[in-house]
Amino acid sequence: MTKFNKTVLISSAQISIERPPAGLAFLSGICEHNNIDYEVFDLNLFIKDNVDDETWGYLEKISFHTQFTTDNPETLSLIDKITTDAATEIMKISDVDLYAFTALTYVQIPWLEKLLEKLRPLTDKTFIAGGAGIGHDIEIGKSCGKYLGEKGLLDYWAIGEGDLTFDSFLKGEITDGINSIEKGTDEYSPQIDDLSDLTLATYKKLDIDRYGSYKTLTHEINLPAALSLSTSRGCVRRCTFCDVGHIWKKFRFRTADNVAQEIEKHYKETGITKYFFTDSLINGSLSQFTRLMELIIDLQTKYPELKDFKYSGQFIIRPEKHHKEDMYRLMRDSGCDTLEVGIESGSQRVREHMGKKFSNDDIYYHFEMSEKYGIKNYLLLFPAYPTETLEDHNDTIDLLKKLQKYNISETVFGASLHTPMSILTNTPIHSMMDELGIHMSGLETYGNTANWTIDSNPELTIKERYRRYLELSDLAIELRYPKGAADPSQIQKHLDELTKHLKKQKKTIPLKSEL
Amino acid sequence: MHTIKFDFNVTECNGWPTIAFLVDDDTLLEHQFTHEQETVELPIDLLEGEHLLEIERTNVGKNNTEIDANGNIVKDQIVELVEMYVDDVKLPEFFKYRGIYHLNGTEYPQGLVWGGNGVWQWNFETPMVEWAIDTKVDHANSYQGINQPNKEKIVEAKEYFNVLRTFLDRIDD
Repeated sequence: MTKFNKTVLISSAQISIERPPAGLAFLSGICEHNNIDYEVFDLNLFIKDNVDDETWGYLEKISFHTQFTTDNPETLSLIDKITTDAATEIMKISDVDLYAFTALTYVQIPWLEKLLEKLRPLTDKTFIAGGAGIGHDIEIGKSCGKYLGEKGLLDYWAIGEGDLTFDSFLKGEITDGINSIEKGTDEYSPQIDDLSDLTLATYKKLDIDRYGSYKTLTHEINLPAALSLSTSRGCVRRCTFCDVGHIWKKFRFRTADNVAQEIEKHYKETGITKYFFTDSLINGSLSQFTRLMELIIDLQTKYPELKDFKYSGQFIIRPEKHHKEDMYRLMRDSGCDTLEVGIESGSQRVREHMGKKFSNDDIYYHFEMSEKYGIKNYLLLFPAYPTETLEDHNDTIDLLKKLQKYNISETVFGASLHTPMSILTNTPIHSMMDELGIHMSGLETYGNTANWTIDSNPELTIKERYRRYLELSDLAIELRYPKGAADPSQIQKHLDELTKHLKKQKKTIPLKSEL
Repeated sequence: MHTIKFDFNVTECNGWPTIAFLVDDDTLLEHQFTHEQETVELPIDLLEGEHLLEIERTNVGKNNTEIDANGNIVKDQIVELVEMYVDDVKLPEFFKYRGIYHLNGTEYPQGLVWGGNGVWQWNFETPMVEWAIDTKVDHANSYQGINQPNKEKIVEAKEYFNVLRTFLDRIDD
């Protein structure tokens, strides 16, 4: 294979357009580093431009896992038209010898597949895809990349960290982690130990002003776009319900100096002062987090416009002895705006089983400090963890009630209660199935909440799991948690799950007139 | 049971000021200041509904204001309301500006600096946390152009849950 000269970088759909796709910025940076001409195309934005809000919302509801779930001819025809038009638009870009696709999540696979079906017949140039969605298992032992490769839609797919593999690929080299049908592989690239020497992303060719708005069931926000930025990969915890430990075996972080350099670069190129850290945890390495905050304050002195600097990210609560008040003060001074906090359950017992290492007192301390220093928090919670008893569930109710007051000041600005527990493959809880007596009835719908039963906690039936989910969702709304108690697309997916379950039990599905 | 907390800036002039806190005409607390910055906590345990909080300045005399030969005030006994909190959570700024200061028969909307024997009146409702959140949301929707969830949206969201419940009712354990 020879070196490529011009590429189109294409990001799939359909996700919120809160932020420009980090995958496109990442690939753009590598193209620039290699002096390769490139253009960018965001299918997500293309769809948003070509349908009204209602249709956009409807299209969000009809994909689940890696497939469209509808057989409605009108909808299928609309999807067909959108992808045909998008393919036509992409083909207008001339002299291209490489089409590089990125899928942030498996949710983007259905649209990617449809787009590839339209594009593949139009050109014999090279197609490669990467991103976490491509590496996701569509079935045990087969990645989404391989699935698309087998259908003849991709020449290559990259799994795992693409920093070095895509860089080599542009030079015409096939390294470990670049897979193809011909090569017969479907494997991850070796993990990179030192993240600080990698090429920096660039947003130069992205129309950043087009991003920033989003809607949920209960609210609509229009904000300036934020850029995504990663300071680490992997996680310092191995929470039982999470598959990050499978994807990233080891927690690695960039030096704070390297991250600050990237912030300065993006500021000079785009003028943007809002950032979303995509890390599993923004405070995975406390020393680097502290150093980064100090460097951001230095940058604010150097560039006065950076006084508006704001950042958001996922955060882990730790005991007070690790998170002293000085840290919260530094967070405020460096522009910490919002945190997504994985509390998951109000029960300390449940959190211990999950591998979370903080107490309820640590939670209350975190919110007291956040209140004092003006830091907003979004709670991540889900009911019906396999060991959860009714008492544990009531602890979560109690937690929501106790934290309610923080909604006044937006120290808490929402609670994610999208779904009851679903057991994912490649997670610690999945490997505890025998120990806990968990039985799963197939993985045909990934993220399924109704496909498991548990012998060691028989009270936790499917009905009871949903009852707890609804009780918490109702309560969150009653207590005025403003964002994310549920959204229509999630509710539709739950209805689909319960419909399947009713059919399995040979029950009548409620008619529309009964609802 | 809630605790309303107030941060005050205070100046002394031939003595420190005194204030009284009344809710629905019932005096709950009298407070004598002794420092330039003070926090006062007012525990309240009220029935659900609308209420009136009054903070009354008392015992202000002519000697609590010093005037020079040209008629300029050189020293004054002043109380300024700086922040309000409910159960240790700071209320957004606009809440305190909802109060009206009454002095010598004149109303001073948004008046937070109290010099004479006047009374500051502030309406609120209990349960206080829900009221504060709803008021904040209404304010945000009216003045900040942000569509926050209002009561109609809450009803709409609950309807979605009820649909799910109908399905759930038909499932056997």
